[in-house]
Amino acid sequence: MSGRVPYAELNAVRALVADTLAELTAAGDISHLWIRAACTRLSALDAALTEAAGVLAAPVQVLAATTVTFLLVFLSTTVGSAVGLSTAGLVVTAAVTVLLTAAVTPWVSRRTAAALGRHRLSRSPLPHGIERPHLGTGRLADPGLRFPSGTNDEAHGKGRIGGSRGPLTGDRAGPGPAAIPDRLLDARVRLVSVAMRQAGPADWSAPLLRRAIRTDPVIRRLARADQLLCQAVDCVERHLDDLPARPGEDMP
Amino acid sequence: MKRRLSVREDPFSGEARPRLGRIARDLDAVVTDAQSRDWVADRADRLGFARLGQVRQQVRVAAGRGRTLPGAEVDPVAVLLGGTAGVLVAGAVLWGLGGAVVGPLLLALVSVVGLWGGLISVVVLRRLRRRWDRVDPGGPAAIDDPYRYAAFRRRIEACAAAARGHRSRRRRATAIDLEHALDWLSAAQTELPRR
Repeated sequence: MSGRVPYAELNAVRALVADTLAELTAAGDISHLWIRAACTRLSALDAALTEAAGVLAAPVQVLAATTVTFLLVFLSTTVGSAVGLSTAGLVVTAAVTVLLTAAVTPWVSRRTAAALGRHRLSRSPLPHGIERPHLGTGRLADPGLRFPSGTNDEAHGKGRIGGSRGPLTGDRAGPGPAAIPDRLLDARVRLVSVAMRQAGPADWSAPLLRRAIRTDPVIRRLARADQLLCQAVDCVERHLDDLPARPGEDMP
Repeated sequence: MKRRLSVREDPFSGEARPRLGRIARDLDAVVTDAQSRDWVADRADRLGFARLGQVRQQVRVAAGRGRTLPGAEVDPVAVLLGGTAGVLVAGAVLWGLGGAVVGPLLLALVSVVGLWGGLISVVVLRRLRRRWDRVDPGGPAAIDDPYRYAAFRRRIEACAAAARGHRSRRRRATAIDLEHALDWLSAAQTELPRR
């Protein structure tokens, strides 16, 4: 609603998430149900963030819709009159063209938003506070990291995990998955602050924010990303709960 | 945009044949409410709305089984209104032009006018909804209401029972999604006292 989306912050969130995703995949227990669910959600989260970054401004959308409608109807009716349709036939041609355009619009606009968001995000740098955290490869240095599309929907994802099977420096003696929820919650703090800044301080109360989530396209996508993030945290926590307690590990 | 929830406090209320789309929309209202409350730390609880969001996701997957595309989130009221207004405006302009020569350029202009009519009506609808939503007082969070969980469970179970006995295999597969949704619903409900 106010100003531009802070792409750098979104990049920071994406970097944190991609880092976590790489760690989850590298840890090797993809076969666990909850880990796999978390990976699916993190990939979908990245797609949602990319889309949020690529939302066009409303005037641009109206302009594009007008131009495309005009051109398509003009072309189709020109062809129709060249073929020799009657007046009613021309009107029907125009109506069918408009209907087809309207039917294709959601798909095209999603694709456009994703492509544009990827472009915008890859042009903006990582913010200063975020350095490449725990894994030593330069893979995450490029923010244009992309996950295979199609993991958006769990039912259609068929268990594919995001493309973080790159060369990871192995033998990492990290704290393991126990530290993952905290890092994801850090990412969540950033994400929610981006969304709140996007809504503007006038809207910082529950009913107004609810309205903003419903009506503003950017905030709606950010809210969806936040939901996916919370779900991923929940899945990882459930996985940690399911692990058998190892002896000698923070037992009183 | 204020949506009056069709789930009332009475667990035995509701429509006779629950429909998945309406369940998903009601869930969406509850989830959005809980999420906005979590964002302003009015009622901080990140697990509850995440799990209810899983329920909504599963219901939406079940609703989209019959279709080839996963269900896009469209607002049927806005689409219907915009389409009707566009058709009416374009038809009125064409009828008013009446005897004029109908050529490609004219038709393209008329369709653009119709498009603008539809867009304007949708914008007006959105404005009206924003105004109605402003009146909406806070009140207790919908996610805390146990009757609402009971109503959701009953509706989803009714849908699952209807799907289980269906002839088509695709509709029977819906029942599995709905069982996942029920699992997530009870998981969300067990998180309730944690706030």
